[in-house]
Amino acid sequence: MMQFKNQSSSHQKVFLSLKNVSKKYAQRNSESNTVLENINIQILDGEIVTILGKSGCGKSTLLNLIAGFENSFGGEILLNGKPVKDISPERIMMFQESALFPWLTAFQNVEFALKMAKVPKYQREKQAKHYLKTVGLSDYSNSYIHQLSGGMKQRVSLARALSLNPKILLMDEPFAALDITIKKTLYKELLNLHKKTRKTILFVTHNINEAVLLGDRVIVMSPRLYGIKKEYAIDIPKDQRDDNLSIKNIINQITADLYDNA
Amino acid sequence: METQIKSNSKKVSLSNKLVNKILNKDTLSLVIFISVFLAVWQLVYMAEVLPKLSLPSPLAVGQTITELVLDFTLVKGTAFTLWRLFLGFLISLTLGLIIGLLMIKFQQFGKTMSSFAVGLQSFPSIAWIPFAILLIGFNDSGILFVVVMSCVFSVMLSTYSGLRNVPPIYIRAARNMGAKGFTLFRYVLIPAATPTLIMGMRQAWSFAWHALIGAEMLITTLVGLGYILSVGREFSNMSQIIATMIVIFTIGLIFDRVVFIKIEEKIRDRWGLDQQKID
Repeated sequence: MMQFKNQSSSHQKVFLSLKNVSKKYAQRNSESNTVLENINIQILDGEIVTILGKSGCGKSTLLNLIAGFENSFGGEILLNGKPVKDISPERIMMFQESALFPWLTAFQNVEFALKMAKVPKYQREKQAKHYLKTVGLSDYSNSYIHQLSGGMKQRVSLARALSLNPKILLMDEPFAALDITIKKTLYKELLNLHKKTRKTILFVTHNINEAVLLGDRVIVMSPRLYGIKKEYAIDIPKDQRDDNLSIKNIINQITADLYDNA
Repeated sequence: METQIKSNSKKVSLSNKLVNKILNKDTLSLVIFISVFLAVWQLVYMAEVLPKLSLPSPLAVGQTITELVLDFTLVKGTAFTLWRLFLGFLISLTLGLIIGLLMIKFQQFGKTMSSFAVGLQSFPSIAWIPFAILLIGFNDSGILFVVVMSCVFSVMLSTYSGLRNVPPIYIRAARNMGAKGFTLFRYVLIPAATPTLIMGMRQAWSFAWHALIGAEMLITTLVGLGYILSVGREFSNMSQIIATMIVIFTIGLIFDRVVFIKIEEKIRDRWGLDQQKID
């Protein structure tokens, strides 16, 4: 009992924890190809952590492991103290390309998620509308996916993900294909949503600005090390990060980290 | 009084719409095309390039069509042919879908069966007829057998490839949301494969149609458009042959243009397959 109290009183508890996680892919010539080695990450409840790295550094693989898309890996991944196993709506992934179903409207896409979550039919309509409203797409609920712009598609994806009320949101470069003005709006919206919902978010990107603008912490990955190179905790409030001098310094440091070839 | 005027003007605009619909560009060019075709035919007929028995005039063929319709030969023949087509197509759809699904379920079987089916798909349907006659006999079942053999493989292959080529990201996303088993199949795989399935069905339909007329000509059952054709040949009745050909052509056109194209357009539009836009 005492111990329990002690744990919860330590200000914020670890929500997702990766212990010595490694991943190798079997190759044809029987040599295996290491992608990740001894990764240790601890993520607190309600935190936004961005994982930054060039392509090929294994950052997407890491996300796939947490999502449960791949089940063979070394080490341990614990969510809320329980080992992560298989795919689960607790850990929802948002992809770079739209994974929305083109044969359904925006509304029906969100409703589909609710149906999968076994929400009773009479509640689905109200909830689906609510989540589309949350991402500002009420007027487009009857549009088919190909009728929406890239930014709108990702908003519907976000609405769909949120409607499942996941414990953690895994975002795999969701804004990479969008142009800069739309990205900036979506950053703001994502941060606003995070303020409201306090969802834990793990956000993978190759864009330094994005990583620094969104993250409470930025984890910089290195392809050479098959793992984490450095970690930055950023304690500047997120609404003050635009044009901020210390943010610029951090960006410069990270840029140097990424290009010093280690 | 006012309401009457209103309803009158409504009627006028409605009939205007109808006239516009009939007189649109496509219809107009079709009418011109047919008129030119008939005129050339009439000219060839009048120039006596070919003996009059071999090539009757358009008018004579028109008369034959009217006669064959009035004595119910064509009506009955069309009805029987369409019934066989419907039945054969339905059987092929059911069989093709079931086997296609089994091919997905059992991978090795799918691999073997698909190369087998590709071969059989291009197998000439007429070549099934002697086999069907000896195996089943001169009856409807023999005809149905030929029809099914000619189109079941298209349905099978389109089911197989349609389901296999569903973008993995859809499946990933759906499984992430908790879909699995039948739910995943019914609500994600089937709709994602629908455009391919419809294309396969359209191809299957046209194969079935070709095979059916051939089978009706060679497997004599005393009814059907194919049978009317072969009777025309036996009695050297060119008017009857051309009249039946026109009916066969029209039915094919109606099914392909009106039924299948409409369905395919609707699906392509809804799935957004025709537009590469915005972004």
